[in-house]
Amino acid sequence: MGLAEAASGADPASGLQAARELRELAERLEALQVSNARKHGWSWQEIAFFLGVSKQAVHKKYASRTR
Amino acid sequence: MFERFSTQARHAVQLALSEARALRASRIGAEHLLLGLAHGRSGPAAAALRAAGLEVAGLRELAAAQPDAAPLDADSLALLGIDLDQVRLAAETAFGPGSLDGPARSEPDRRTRARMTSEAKEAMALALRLAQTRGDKEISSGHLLAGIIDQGNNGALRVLTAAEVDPAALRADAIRRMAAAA
Repeated sequence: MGLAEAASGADPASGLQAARELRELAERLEALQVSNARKHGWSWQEIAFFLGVSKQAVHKKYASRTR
Repeated sequence: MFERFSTQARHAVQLALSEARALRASRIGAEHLLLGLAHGRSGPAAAALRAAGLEVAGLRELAAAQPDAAPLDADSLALLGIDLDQVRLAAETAFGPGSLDGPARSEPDRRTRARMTSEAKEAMALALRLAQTRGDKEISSGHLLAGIIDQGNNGALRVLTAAEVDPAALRADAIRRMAAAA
């Protein structure tokens, strides 16, 4: 099955699972990048700008996980 | 939800939190619940685990060897045209080995509270449902063990697989012991 079939939802189970895995992968990549940005001295404001979310949102999500 | 838990089941959940902290996990997973159950002195779950040759120290070792987060499913991502190996290679080249496999273990999460993984939450919900289906007033350690196994995809099942214990047989034994105790 290719991208078209998975995305068009021919089989709901595999389509939903694929979407879920994609979300999980994106979450992990985001966490890695946020942690790296903090190590480089970026402010929450700057990180939030590039992630396209509010400073409060990014701080709430990551403040406890990164320094 | 906890008000219907038996003393043993409640105790197991508290111990799961201690175990998650000790293992420096960011959340309470099903494998920590399993460890909590193994601590029990009596009750269907502890008895079934002991009968299967599982004790706390061995389970803890296997749980510690688990990645902190569930592994990503390469097959599902391949459906979307994403090569997980390529993504992992890129991440590890930049950030080191294991960087894509969940939060780093080297930094203990001092804030580990009663936060559970979605798998552990599902297992608790299934334990509740099992009690309802059976018409049992309390959610015992046996219901909890069955819920963990019924959830189908979690750290506890990976620990059981690593210990070469058949989850279905373990579940059946716990249920049998619940019936005997009732």
